[in-house]
Amino acid sequence: MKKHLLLCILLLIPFIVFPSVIFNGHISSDIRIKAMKNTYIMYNEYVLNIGMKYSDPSIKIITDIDAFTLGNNIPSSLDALSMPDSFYNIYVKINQAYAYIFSLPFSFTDMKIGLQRTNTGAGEIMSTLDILNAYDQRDRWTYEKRLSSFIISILGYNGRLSWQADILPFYEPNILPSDISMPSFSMPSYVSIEHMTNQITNSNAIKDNAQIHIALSYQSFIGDISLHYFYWKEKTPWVDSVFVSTGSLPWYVNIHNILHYPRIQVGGISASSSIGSIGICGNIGLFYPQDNDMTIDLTAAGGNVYDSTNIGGPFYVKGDICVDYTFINGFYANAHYVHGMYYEYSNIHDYIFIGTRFPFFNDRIIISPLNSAFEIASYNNFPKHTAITIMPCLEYSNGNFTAGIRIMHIWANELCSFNDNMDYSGIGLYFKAGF
Amino acid sequence: MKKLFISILMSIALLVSSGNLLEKIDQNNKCIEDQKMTVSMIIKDNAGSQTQKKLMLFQKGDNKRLVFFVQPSNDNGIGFLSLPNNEMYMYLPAYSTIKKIASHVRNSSFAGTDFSYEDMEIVNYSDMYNYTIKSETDSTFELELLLKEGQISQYKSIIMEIGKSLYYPIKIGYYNKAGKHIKTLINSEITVINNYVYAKQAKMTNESSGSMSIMNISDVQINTGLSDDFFTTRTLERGL
Repeated sequence: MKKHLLLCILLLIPFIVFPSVIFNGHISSDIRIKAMKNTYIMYNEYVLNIGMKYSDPSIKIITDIDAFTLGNNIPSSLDALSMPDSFYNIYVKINQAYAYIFSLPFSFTDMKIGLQRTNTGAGEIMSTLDILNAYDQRDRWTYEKRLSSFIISILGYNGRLSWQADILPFYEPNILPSDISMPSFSMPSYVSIEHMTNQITNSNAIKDNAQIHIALSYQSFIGDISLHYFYWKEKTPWVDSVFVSTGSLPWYVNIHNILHYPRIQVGGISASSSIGSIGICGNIGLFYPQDNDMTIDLTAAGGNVYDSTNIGGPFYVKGDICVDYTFINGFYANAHYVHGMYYEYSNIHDYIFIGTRFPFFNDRIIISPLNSAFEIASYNNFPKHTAITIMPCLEYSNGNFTAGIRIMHIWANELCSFNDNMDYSGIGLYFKAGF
Repeated sequence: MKKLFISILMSIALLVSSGNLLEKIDQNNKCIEDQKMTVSMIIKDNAGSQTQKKLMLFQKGDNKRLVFFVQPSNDNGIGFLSLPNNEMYMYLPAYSTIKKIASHVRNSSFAGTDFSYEDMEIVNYSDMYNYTIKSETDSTFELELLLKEGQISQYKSIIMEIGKSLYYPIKIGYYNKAGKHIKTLINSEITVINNYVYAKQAKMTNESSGSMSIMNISDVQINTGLSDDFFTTRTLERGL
């Protein structure tokens, strides 16, 4: 965070020095009420966003900062939802702070340095090969929010051929040690865990943490294709060793887990084209994780050391394909099949996302009645391992002011990623006023 | 039969006297290599509420076009690149990504206006349409254009009124494949800059919904030497 703040201050200097800076931004709010069985959760966020842009023929400097309050209360009844929340905490999030330097170091290359969001692969959201930035855990309703990362990006162009090299020197995991929940662990029924501690081993050295992405792309009038290679780090930790010791009573044990963020190499292809009037894009990635043998050490409890292959080793495949169609009256529909989705190795499921967008009154009213997602966690005992999410939306926008309402309901069975296996309903209101 | 014969003779006479009118209209576009302009749009729906948009438009030849939205704030930074063979790309600053667009969207609304992507293109009418002269006054011709075999457009026929002095369309009625009158374009404040004729204001009315989009054009610069390299995804990503 400190380095990002320093970078932001450095990038603010041109805005002070040069008068031709363009300011814009918005004030927005996002209020959601979720009903889960007998519990109601209110999530509310109020954001002041300020964006600044300076550009001349050789450089563009962009900063984009959110100041926001975030409230979350869990009252036991609907009446209690009116309880005041603790909004006095104001958080600052730097969405972007980067310099886009044109024709550097060669006339055919551009460079982007700083905190930025980079997209890799084809498609807008849920792209299998769009893996460099961490998800924003605050937003599970849209699936699409990703945080920015500090990236040095070099973009090269030669006619229809282009290439891109991204270097992320600083690693930012998605899950920190304090967020780790108990790893799944088979215990005899007569034994209980008294204490469990987790320790993540993560080197601070850039050579251990740096992530690299290289892409080679070709555009043609029949379609675009890109080849990708990632030298990547998983955003959630894997267990290396489990140390088991006796507790204060004979049926208690203490467990200490040592975890690390593993390396993964990814080779992939992304492509986009159209077949007749239907737009089509897709990604496929071959993920090759490093070997990870988990050790269970029972010596402190009078046992032995056991080795068992946990995860890693053989490669696995993630992929997605998306089709979309725009009707002559502006109605838009897309369908997206994803084999993969979340970072976790154990969470490779099949998903189908349906999106619709019906604009009326010159895009002022947009109705999205059929937005939905279908998850298949396992094909064994299929009906019990599926989840359905529906999220119809209604939005008004005149370009400067936007107001919308989302309704969400999830029916989720075992093993499904949607909503931690719990059914819930929710309603969300959002407002945004730009300036 | 006699009336028909006289009518055909009159049409032939008009054609001979006026030359190929569509080629004369197209000639205007051929006198420029490239152009850039600022476009302010006012979109009015039939309930009376209106939205304003502002964009920068760069164009080379009749099939290379780059558009950047400036206003409203929600659209700021969005860019469109249109290349030959209906190759289209869109840049979304919120996602920092360039997306290829299926070519058929040229039939749909351009950024929520009553103009379609196709309407934003420079049309070589003589390549796409056959025409007949419907009527003539001292200052105008009224033409009926029919789409040629093999040409692709959302408009099967067009009724066009052109001024005799500058051979520039003043009013265009667009008809779909079913023969239904769907849109009307009225060009006004016709201006000449270095022999290039353009309308400072273009008003498109959607005959079905009653909505209207008014396009006010300013800061027009022609033949500024925009290179082919400008009309690439590199420029789209760089933005304004």
